[in-house]
Amino acid sequence: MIEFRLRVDSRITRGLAPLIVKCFSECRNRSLPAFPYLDEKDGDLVDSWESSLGEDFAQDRQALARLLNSAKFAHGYVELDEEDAELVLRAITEIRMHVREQYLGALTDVELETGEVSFSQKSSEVQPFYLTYLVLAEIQEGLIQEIR
Amino acid sequence: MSLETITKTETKEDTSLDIPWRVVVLNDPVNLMSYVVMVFKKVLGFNETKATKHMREVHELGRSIVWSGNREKAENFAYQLQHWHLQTILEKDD
Repeated sequence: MIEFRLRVDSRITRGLAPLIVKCFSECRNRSLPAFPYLDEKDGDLVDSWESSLGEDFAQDRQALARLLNSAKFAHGYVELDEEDAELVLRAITEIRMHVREQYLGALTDVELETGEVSFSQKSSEVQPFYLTYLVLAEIQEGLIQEIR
Repeated sequence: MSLETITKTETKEDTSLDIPWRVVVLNDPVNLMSYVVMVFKKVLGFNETKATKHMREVHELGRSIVWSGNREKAENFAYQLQHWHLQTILEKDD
């Protein structure tokens, strides 16, 4: 069992939990990554590839759903089975990508990569999504430390 | 359908199997550096130093060739890297 406490005020975690769940739900409709052969024209191969990836992503999301549904999560605790750790890491990446694509268009790639964001200057619509993005990164950092 | 099934049944049985392919990871602003290093270690079997070198290459140059070899194995790596949400493409190693 993996268990750790997020280095985030639990009031923030509680406040963001519904937003994390909302973004998580929206990920089901996210496009699959581009097929890796840029000039591939074999439709069957592309279909098989995408279908398999779609199934794997769904499994990852189920593991994350178990974490988000745990009573402790809203209080800032991450508790999950070790076998779920990698799945949860991947599913969180998917949500962070979704948040970036859908809600953080006002931030540049450089701002996101360096973390040098003038938070107070961002709109009230963007701020909670940026905090969500950061809290999800915090969970990932914690998990990476645990499974290293 | 598992990846193994896909690669066994769907990989083209033509001369392209003999051409070396490159697995190329592209930069994205979302993934944490520690995450990318961890994925390179897990998927490609890199040690910490090699994984960090390739992560920096992706970050600073926008792309890194992380593996080169036969098509079937290249597809397998590309699939796993995409499963980890790293932007990955396959290129012919001309």
